[in-house]
Amino acid sequence: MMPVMHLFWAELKRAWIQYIRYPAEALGGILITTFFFYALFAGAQYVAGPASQFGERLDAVVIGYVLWTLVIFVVNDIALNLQVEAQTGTLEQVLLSPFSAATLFLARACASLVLRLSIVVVILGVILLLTGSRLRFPPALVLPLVSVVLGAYGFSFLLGSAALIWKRIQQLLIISQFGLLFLLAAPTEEWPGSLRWLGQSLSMTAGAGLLRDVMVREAGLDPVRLLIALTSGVFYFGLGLLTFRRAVRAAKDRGILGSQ
Amino acid sequence: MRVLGRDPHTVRAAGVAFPGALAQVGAVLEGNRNLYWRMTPLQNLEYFGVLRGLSPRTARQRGLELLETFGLREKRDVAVQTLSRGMQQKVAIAVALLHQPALLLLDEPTLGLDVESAQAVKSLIRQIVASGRAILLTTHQLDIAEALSDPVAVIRQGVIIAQAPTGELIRHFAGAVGTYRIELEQGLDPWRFEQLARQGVEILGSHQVRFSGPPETLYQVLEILKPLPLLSLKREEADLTHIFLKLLY
Repeated sequence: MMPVMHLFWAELKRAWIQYIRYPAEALGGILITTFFFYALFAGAQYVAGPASQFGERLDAVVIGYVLWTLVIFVVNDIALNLQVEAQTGTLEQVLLSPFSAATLFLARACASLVLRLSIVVVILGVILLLTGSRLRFPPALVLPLVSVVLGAYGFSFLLGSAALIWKRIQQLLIISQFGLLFLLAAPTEEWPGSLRWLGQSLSMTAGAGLLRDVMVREAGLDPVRLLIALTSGVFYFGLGLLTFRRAVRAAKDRGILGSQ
Repeated sequence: MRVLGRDPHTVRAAGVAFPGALAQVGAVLEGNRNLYWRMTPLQNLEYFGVLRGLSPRTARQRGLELLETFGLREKRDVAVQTLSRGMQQKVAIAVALLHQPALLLLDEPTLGLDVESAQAVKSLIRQIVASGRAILLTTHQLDIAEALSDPVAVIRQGVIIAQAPTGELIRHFAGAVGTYRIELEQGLDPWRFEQLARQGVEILGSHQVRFSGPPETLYQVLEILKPLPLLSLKREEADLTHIFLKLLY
């Protein structure tokens, strides 16, 4: 196996161990998630909050809700991780690895996403079994989803860079949620003229628009817009990684990696 | 921690995926949090081993060996947060040795440890040196530096202001002017008091005096004391603390 895969497995294992270390905490999280999904299935769509913009149908609400919570999770993950580890003191030790900081934190973010997604899928599966409902997951959703997740990771690395340099960025994280809401919910694909292209070039918006196409308007995928969505995903992901590299360099130069 | 000069991450040897410099360095930085507290020592060793580029199997095997050598076998499956400070420090050192580096950086390895744990960590450090690894130890605890480091360097505001083999440095500072403590069997009489004071001898009590000066002058002091019976004559060793203070002020 490649060293990077070993790293990913090690991170997955670490995430799992830390997750189940306090069973009450883990159980509490699972219960809350279960409650939310159950409420969605019972028809209380308002609990999905901002995610309800993906349509009235149950499939759309559930997928929209999962996407919204995952994107929030991904976006906060790296920055929160960095802050906690700088405070506890493990960050400097971790950055002595021959893996680059970007590789390392990407592996971490992927591992925690996989863990989180698995938990959600298991909970959903159990609810589907219990309620006898069925969810439709059109394969056309996969590529737009990928573009959104890439954009989210780019965003996450940008916030991570801010955390490395400025340390306390809780306020920024809260504000960033409003930005996220705009990026995911604003129907930029319906904006007029050149404003539309501007809207589509923002992070995640093109992918979110395609999701609305498939789930709400029940339209097919527009290949040009899919290409735009994927390009935008890759671009923002790259931008995030590049900024993060520079932020790590800057933090090392200033000697503030481990400061709080 | 601040990287001066080139960041080893950016130095890449031809054809080598990982930068060579980091592969040869292990570090335990100041403070107790070089480990994940929710995980056990073995889990920490396995995780950090992979992080240092080892395969999971090698990481586990070396981890087990290190726990054995460091006398932590019984604690391998206990969460790190429940271990004593001394044991945590040992696990942190074990983690730093996983990839078998040639150089180990230790920052304040005994800070905040109780006497017994500090002794254990000290003997562990000697053991590591005996196994052929170099250690660069930074500390404010000068007795630790004196006991463990050779050579030793004194740093002020990031600049080395003295550097020598430890014994040599101590001899050098003790050399020119020795300090002698003389203990007498019987009390000093007023005449001798006066004579001694004239030679600049410090009177510590009626039975004890201290004299600082070149060895030749010592005999003049002894001449004054003659023929009083002596209990002891001892040269006071300079230690790193004295030297450090002298260098700084």
